[in-house]
Amino acid sequence: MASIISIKGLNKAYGSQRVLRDLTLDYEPGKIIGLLGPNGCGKTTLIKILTGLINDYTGEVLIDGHKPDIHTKSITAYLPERTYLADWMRPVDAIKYMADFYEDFDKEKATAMLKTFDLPEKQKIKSMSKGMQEKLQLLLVVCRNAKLYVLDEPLGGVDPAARVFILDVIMKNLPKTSSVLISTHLIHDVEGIFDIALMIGRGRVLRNDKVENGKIGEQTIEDVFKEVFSYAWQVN
Amino acid sequence: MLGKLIKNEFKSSAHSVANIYLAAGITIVIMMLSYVVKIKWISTLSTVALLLISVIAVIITLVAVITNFYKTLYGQQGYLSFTLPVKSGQLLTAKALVSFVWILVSYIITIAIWVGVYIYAAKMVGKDTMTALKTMMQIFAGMPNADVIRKILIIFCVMVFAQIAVFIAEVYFALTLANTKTFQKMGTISAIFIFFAVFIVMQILVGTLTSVVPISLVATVDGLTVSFTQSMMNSTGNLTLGITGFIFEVFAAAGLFAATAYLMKNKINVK
Repeated sequence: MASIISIKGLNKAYGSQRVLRDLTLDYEPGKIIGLLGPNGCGKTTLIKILTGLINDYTGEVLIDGHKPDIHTKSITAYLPERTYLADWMRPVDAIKYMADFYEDFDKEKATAMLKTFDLPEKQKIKSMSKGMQEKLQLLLVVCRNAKLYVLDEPLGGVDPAARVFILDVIMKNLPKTSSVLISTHLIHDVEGIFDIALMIGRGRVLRNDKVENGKIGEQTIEDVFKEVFSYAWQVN
Repeated sequence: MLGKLIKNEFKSSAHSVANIYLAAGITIVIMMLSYVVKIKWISTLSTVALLLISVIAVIITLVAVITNFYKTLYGQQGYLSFTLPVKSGQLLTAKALVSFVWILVSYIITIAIWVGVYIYAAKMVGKDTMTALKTMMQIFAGMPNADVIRKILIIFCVMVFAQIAVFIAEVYFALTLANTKTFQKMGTISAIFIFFAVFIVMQILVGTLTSVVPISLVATVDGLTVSFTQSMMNSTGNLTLGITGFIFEVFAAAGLFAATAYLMKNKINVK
C-alpha cells in the first residue's frame, strides 16, 4: 500500500531564512498524526507544501504516491488556520461550491449539520462572527469523505469549551480509514487522539514517535514536548 | 471542471460590479420617466449622471478584474482556490474568460449609453436622428463598398478584443510574478512596477516591429488587400489599418498567459 505521506529531503526557504531543512517522513494510511511545535517552527509551511499552496521547494513530496496535483487535492480535505471563504458567500453558497468541486463532499450531511451547528443558511459570511466562520469551515471539511485530512491549528484561538466541541466533531465525523494530520501547539487537549507525534523545531524533525494511549513510551506527549521545546525561545 | 469554475467565477465577480450596473439601470429609468413627464432639470441631471456612470462603470470593472484576481488567488481566498482539484491553467482560463466578458460588457454598455444619450439629446433639441444617420451613410458612400467596411469593422472589433486580452494578460502576469519568492517581500507595489515594465516593453516592441515589419490592411473599392509599406496614410487616400502590433500583441498575450500559468503551477507562495 502506498504511503499516504512520503517526504524525502524537503527544504524550503523564504529568502535567506531556511524554514524546513532536509525533512524526511513516511506515513502509512489510517493514522492520526500530531504535527507539534511552537509557533514559527515550520508547521504551516509543511502543510502548505502538502496541500499545494507552496510549490517552490526542493526535495520530494508525495501524497498517496503523487506529487501535489489534482489527484492529491481531490483526496485531501484542508482546514486552514484562517478564513478562506469569500465575503459574499452564505453557508448555502459555500456548500454548493464544495459540492461542485469535490466528488466526496456530502451535501446532505452538510445541510443537516448547518442546523446542528446553529448556522443560518442564508447569512452572509462577512456578517458572521469569527466563531461562526470557523464552525462553517470545520463543517465543510468534515463533510468530505477524504483520504487525508490536514487540519492547521483547528484549536488555535478558541476557548476550552469550543476545543472540546471541535475535537468531538472531528472524531465523530472523520472516516476511521482516513489519515489525519493535525497541527497544534495545544498538546494537552489532543494528545489522547494521536497515533504518531511529529515534533518540528527550527525546520527539522526533532521527534517522530508512535503514540500509545497518549504516551510516547512512559512519558505523556506534553512532557516530551516540554522536554524537546524547553528551549523554544532560543530555537525559534 | 472548467464550466464549474466559470460559473462560480461569474457568481463571485458579479458581486463586485453589480452595483454600478444597477445604478446605471436606475438612472436610465429616472431619465426615461423625466422624459415622459417632461421635467427638464431632472432629465438633464440624470443624463449627466448616466454619462458619468458609463465612464465609472468601465473603471470599476477594470478595478474589479484586478482586485478579484488578486483576492481569489493571492489573498485569503487563495487557500480555497489553490486547493481545488483543478489545473492552474483551468483556474487562469476561467478567470480570464470571465474578466474578458465583464470588460467587454462594460465597453458595450458605455457605448450604448453614449449612443442612447446622443439620440435622446438630438430629440430634445429637435434634430432628426434618422437624417443625421443618413448624412453619415452618405459620407460612407464615397468609401469602399459596404462589404469591405463590414470586414474592416469586424477586424476592428477583433483588435478591441485583443486589446482587452492583452490588458488581462499583463495584469494577471504582473500580479502573479509579484507573488513569487523574488518579489513577494516587496509587497503589492511590485505588481504595479511589473505591470508598467511589461506595458512599456510591449509598447517599445510594437513600435519597433511596426517600423521594421509594417503590415497593414488597405480597404479599396475592390476589397481588402495586405500592404507591406511603411506609410500609414496610403497615397491613394484609402482606409488603412496597421496590423503588425495587433499580431504581435496576440502572441505576446498568449505568452504572458502561458508564463502566468507556469508561475501559478510552479513558483507561487500563497501567503
